[in-house]
Amino acid sequence: MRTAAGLAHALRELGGLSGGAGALRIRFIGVIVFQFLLIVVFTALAPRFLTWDNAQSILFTAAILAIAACGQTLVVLTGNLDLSVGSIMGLTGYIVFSIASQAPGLQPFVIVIAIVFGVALGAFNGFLVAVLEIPSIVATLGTLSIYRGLVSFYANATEVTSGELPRWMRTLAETSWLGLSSYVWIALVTVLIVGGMLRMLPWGRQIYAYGSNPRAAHFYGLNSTRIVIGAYIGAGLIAAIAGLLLGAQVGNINSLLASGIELSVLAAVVIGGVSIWGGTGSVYGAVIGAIVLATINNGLVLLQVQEFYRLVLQGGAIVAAVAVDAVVQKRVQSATTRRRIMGVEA
Amino acid sequence: MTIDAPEAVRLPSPGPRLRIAGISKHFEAIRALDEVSFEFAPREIHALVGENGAGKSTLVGVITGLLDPDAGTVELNGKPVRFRNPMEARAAGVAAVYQDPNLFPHLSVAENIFTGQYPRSGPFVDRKAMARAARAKLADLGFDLDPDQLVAGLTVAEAQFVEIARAVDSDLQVLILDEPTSALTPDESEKLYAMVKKLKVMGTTVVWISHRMEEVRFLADTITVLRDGAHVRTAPASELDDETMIRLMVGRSVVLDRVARTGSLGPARLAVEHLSLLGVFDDISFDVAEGEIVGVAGLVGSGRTEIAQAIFGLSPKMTGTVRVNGSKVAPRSPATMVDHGVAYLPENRDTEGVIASMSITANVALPSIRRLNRLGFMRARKERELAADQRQALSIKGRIGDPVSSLSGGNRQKVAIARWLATDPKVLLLDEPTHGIDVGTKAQVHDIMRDLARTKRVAILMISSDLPEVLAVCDRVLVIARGRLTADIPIAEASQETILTAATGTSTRTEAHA
Repeated sequence: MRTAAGLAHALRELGGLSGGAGALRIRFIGVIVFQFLLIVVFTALAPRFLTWDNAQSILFTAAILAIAACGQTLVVLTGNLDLSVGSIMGLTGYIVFSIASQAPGLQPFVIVIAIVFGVALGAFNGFLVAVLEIPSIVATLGTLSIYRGLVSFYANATEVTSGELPRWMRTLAETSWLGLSSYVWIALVTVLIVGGMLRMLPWGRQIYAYGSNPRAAHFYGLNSTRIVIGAYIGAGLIAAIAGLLLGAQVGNINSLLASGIELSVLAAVVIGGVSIWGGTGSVYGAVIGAIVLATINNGLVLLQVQEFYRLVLQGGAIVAAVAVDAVVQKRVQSATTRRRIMGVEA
Repeated sequence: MTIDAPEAVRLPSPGPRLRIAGISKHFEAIRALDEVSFEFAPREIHALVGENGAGKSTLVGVITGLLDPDAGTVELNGKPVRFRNPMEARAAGVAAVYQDPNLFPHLSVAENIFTGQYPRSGPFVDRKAMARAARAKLADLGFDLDPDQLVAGLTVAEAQFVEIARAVDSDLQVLILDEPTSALTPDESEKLYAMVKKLKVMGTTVVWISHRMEEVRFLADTITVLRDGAHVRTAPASELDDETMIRLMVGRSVVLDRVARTGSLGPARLAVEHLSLLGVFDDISFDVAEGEIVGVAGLVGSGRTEIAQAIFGLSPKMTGTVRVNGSKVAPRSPATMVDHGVAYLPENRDTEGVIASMSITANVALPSIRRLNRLGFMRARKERELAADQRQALSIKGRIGDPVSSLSGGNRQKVAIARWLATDPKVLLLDEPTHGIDVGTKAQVHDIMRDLARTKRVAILMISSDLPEVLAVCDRVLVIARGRLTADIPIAEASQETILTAATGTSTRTEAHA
C-alpha cells in the first residue's frame, strides 16, 4: 500500500515536470518496478521463491492469462471492456473439443474451428457495442451469461475427458522447448504478433486513436464501428485459442471451463497499464500485468496463505492501478483542454 | 424550395473559390441559417464575423459536411459539392480547424497529423516516413515541434499548431479557422498570423472567424457579417470601419457605458479576512457592501475563481473568516452558504451552471426545492410560476418547458442566473458571467446586475477578464495576482492601465521573492 502511495506521489512529482506525456511513461515503468518489488519481498519471505523451477512455474501460470490479456487489451484500448472473455474461452474449449471427439476427422483442425467460433462470438459482442451502442460493460455482462448458458445447455452436465481430446493438443500442453513450456512460447508469439499489429497496421493505430479521443476520431473520418467491432473480433479470436489451450491443459473439461477468469484477465490488463479510459497502454504491459498476478499467486502459495488473501490482493491491485491511471488520465486531459488569457486591448 | 430566395449579390470576381447559395438550416424550432448566399474569392483572407448565435459555426458545419443543410448549395470552384463528412471535404481541399482541439492526446504529433491517411509501406504504417513528413510539414509552417512528442505534453497553442499542420496540404483550397487565437498568447497569435498570410500567398482561401476586431482589421481582405442566421453584408475590409461592422453585427449600436451609480451603499454584506488556501491564495481580505458591485480582475490562473469558490464552501481546507450580514459563517459546503443567502455562478455554465437536459422550469426551480414543496411533493404550478416570472424578468428566449440544451449560450447563462435569483440571494458571486455571450445579451446581463444591486440591494462580486466590462459595471475593482490581493481600486481611479499594472507588475515581484 505504501509503495502504491509512494508511486502515485513520485508520479505526480515527475508528471508535474513533463505534463501528461511524462505521466504516461512513468506509468509503464511503475509496473516493472512493482514486479521487481514483488520478487524482492517474496524472496525475502520464502527463499524457495527465487529458483529456476519456480520461475518456470510462474511463467507457465502466466501464459494463458497473458494470451487472453492480449485480446482484452485490444478492446480496452478502445475504451470498452470484454467481460465475456471467460465464457468465450469456456464455450469454445468445450464445444470444439466435444465436436472433435465425436468426429475424429476434425481433430487436426480444432484451431480453425475455434477461430470460427471466436470470430463469431466476438463479432456479436462488437455488434452490440458498436452498432446497438449498448455500453460495453452491460453488453458483455449479458454475453458472459448468454455464452455460458449456451455451453451449459450444450454440455448437458457431461464432460469431455482427457482421453477424448486430440492427441496432439495433449502432447503440446506437456511439451517444453528450451526449458520453457510450449505455452510460454505460444504466449510470446501471440504477444509479438498482436503488439506488432497494433504498432504497424493502420487498424492498430486507429484503435489507439479511437480510444484516445472518439470524438476526434469522428472528425478524422475514422470508421468507429469498424474499429470497435474489429477489436472485439480480435479479442474473441484470441480468447477462443486461449480456451483451447486451457482445455488441453486441464484435460477433463466441463461447462464451467474458464469460469470467472475475466476478473484476472482484466486485472492483468489494467495492472499492466492499459488505461480503462482507452487510448494508451500496450500488450507488453498487459503481459507484465499477467506475470505480476502469477507472481502474487505463486508467492502466496509458497507462503501458504489462503485463497481469500489472493482475491483481496488481486482486487486491491486493480483498484490501485486504476487509481493511478485516473491521475495520469487527468494530466493527459488537462494538456488538451483550453486555457484563456486575460482579454486585454490596452 | 428556394423560390423566394433573394437574388445573390453578384461580385465581379473571376470565379469564386467557394460559393454559398441559399443555405438554410434549422435546429428544431431555431433558425440557425436563413438563405445565406455569398462567395469566397481565391487567395484571400476572408473574415466571418457576427455575434454568438449568428450562424458562423453552423455555416462552417454545412460547408465541411458536419451538418446537412435544409436547403441551398455549396459550390467549390464552380462545381456543386455536398460533403457527407469532414474527411470528404478535406479530400476535396476544404479543411476546418475548430475552436476546441480535436486531437489524440495519447498519440505522437506525427500520428495526429497523419491519422486516417498513414504513409504505408505494404500493409504496414511507415512510421519513419510519417515522422519525416510531419517534420517537413511543421517546418514549412514555421512551427518548431518534435513529431515524436506525445500531444499530451504540448501547450494549447502547440496543440493548435498540430491541428493546423494536419489541415494544411499541398492541395488545400480553403482553410477555415474558427476563433483560432482565443486560447493563444499574443506571441503565439503573431505566429499564426504570419502562417495564414503565407498560406494566402500560396493560393489558399483562408476563412477567419473571430471576435477580435483588431485581428480582423489586421488580417482580412474581405469581411462578411452574419446576424441571426442571415447574411448581412460582404465587403472589402477597406470599406467597413469598426463602428459600421459592430453596428451591422448587432443591428444597433451598443456601447458599454459607465453608468453612474445611484443610491448609496449599505453595510457590508460579505466581509472576508485573511483567507488563505495553501498553494492557491494567501491572506485575502475585502468586503462587499449592500448594493455594491465589486469586480475581481487578474490574469487567468491567478486564483480569482478559487477564491470565489472557497467563499462558496467548495474548499473546506481554507483558513480565515467569512462574515455574511455581519455574522461569522464557516464555509464548509455550498449547502451552508446557500442557507446564508450566498449564491455562486460558475464560469463553465454548461457543465456546472445548468443541467442542460432538463427544462428551464426544472433548472430554475432546482435550488428552491425546499421552498416549493409541500409534504415532500413538488408543487408543479408554483414551479411553473416561478420559472415564468424569471423568464419574463430576464427576458429568456424559449418556452419554460424547453430543455436548456436548446437555448443559445446567452440564454443558458440567463437560466443559470435565474436559478439563483429565484432563491432571493443576499450575496451573488459571479464568475465570468458574460464569457462567450454576444454583445446584446451581455448588455442585458449588465442591466440585470445593476438592477439587482440598486433595487434588490444584493452584494455582487463579479470575476471578469473583460476589462471594459469591469470598468462599465463595477463600483470598485479588486485585482488578484498570483493568489494575492494586489490592489483595491475605486472605480473613479480605475483604468485598464491601472488594473493591468496591478495584475502583472506585482506578480513578477512576488515571484522574485519566492
